[in-house]
Amino acid sequence: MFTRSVSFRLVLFSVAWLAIALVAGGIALSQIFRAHVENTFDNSLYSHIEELLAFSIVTDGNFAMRGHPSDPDYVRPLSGWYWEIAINAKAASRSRSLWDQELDLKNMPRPNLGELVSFSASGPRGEPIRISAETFTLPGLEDEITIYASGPASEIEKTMEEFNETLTLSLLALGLGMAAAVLLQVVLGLRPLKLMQSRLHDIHAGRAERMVGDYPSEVEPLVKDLNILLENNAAVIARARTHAGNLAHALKTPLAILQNEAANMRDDRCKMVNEQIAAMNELITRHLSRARAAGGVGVPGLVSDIDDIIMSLKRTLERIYIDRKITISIGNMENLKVAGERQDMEEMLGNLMDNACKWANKSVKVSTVLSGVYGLIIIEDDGPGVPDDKLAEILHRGKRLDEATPGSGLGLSIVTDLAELYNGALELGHSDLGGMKATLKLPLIEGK
Amino acid sequence: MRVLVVEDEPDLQNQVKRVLIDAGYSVDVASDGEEGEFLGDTEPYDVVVLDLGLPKVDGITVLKHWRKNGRDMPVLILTARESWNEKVSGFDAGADDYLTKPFHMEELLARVRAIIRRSAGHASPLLECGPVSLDTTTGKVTINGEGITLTAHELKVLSYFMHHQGRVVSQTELIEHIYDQDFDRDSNTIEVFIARLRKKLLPDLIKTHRGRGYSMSPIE
Repeated sequence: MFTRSVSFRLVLFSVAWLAIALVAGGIALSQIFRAHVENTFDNSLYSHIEELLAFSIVTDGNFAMRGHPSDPDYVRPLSGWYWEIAINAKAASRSRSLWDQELDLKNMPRPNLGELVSFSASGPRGEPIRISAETFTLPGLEDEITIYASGPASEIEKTMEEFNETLTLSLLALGLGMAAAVLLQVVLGLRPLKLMQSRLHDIHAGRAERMVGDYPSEVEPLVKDLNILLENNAAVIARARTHAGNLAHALKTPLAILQNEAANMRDDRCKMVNEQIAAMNELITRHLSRARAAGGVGVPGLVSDIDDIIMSLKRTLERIYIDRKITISIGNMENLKVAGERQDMEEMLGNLMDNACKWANKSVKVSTVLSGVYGLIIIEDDGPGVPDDKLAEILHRGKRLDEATPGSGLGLSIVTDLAELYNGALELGHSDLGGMKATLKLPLIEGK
Repeated sequence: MRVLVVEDEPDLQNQVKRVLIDAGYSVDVASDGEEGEFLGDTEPYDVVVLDLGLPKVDGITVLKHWRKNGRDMPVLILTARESWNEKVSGFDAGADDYLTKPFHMEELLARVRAIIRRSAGHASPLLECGPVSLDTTTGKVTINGEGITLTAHELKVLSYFMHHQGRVVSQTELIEHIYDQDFDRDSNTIEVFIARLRKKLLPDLIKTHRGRGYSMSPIE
């Protein structure tokens, strides 16, 4: 899961690269500094070599020294600061600090005349030392002399240790700082994506119709394209619905004409034609409502205000049933907002409320209740009600409980179809008013 | 009673017209929204049967225009559009009833009778005036329980009076509501019908108000 995260990848690669770069840089810096420290050390040794050369004289064709360097380090035994003057790889003179030892000249490079060499070696106690050496000729002396001067390598190491410690701490601080900056940048840089994600979620949940807000220029085109896609999608659905609607409506007028003509045929054919026309009409009605709904389900940005729909249907139904003086009373209302096409909600509630009015004696009651993530719309009537064993049957597709009340069965089966498409459900039961109680369960929009 | 049928499909228009005429109504027809709106604006109809999907101007717009102009005749919407959304907008535009295609002619006639009756303020399909009664469903007229046979035109005149009892109805109003647009109107025929009704029913059932018209009220 982490490996699929862009932030994780960005941070991982950045931090890995940062670590490699800092370690390599640290090593390089340390080496450059070591070279510098050694060079400085070598230079100080060279000045000792020059001092020793100044003390070197030739007496009677033999090498001699007319004094020793005054530096106390060269006197303190085994201090690591040594010097030795060799003629033909044999010690001619050496510092007091060497005590009774000699430098291991056999295993050391011997510089050619006029050449200055510096190298690391081991002292008499095996301690690491740094040696510089140069070969000279002295006037009156046949053999060349080689002057070796050394200092303890520990001095270099001590400086290097101090330097490395500081360097490591600095680089570590730098690395941590940069890692934090990378993290911050990734978080900030990816924020538009997070924003997009939450906006898309809003659309899906029906809280918005299109993506809004300011996005950086890199993300803006994506948002634009998404909006175009959303609009196209909505347009295609709208077109398909319009075509389905047009076809259905265009078929109904010829059906009406056929039905009216058939009424003039005074025999069995009339009944047969009427039955076929009724069947065709039901097919058209059901498939139109499903085509409409199938288009509406999952279309982003659709929110239906259930209270408003109930009130407009109440107004309409009270006029339709004006002769029977049916009153539709409004009970508890929860201001339900449901994700989905208003027309589909109207279709479900209209069919249920109409059915209640058809069966009602005098009154129909509509109320809404919240139930977790669902909203319940409860429609009751004071009619005769339906026996238990018929309740399941009445919900069954196209099954009519009473042929004398045309369309009631179809209406309920359309409600069942639509409710299923919207992840809801229709339940039928008994009302305290005496008649049927229809409970339509629909998912609420999120965050409401 | 005069009915306007606004329907663009000629066959259906004919069928509806024929059935309404057979049921004793005077019928005018319009084949598009523009013509329908004009007729509704200028002629006094007792009921309008209005299709929604009309050429030129759609039915809902026509209905809204009428209501805006104060035309309050009852309107029955007869349409293929059967969604609740469309029903709600139909009623909200001012419709009095809504019937979806395909339909049974008996249903249409029953709805037309009901909205005429309602608009005249009558609750029952059986209209009574003293000993005279008219069953609007069947068109059967009785006096003291005895059936009376009337011609189509006599029935139209009686029906109009029965729906508007206690009110003075002018000859012009009567003519406008009894004859369709194309009929050669002659006010003398009205007098003939009224004379015949007085003879067939009761002599003083219909009173003459000189220069104003006629009225029918229960006899005390």
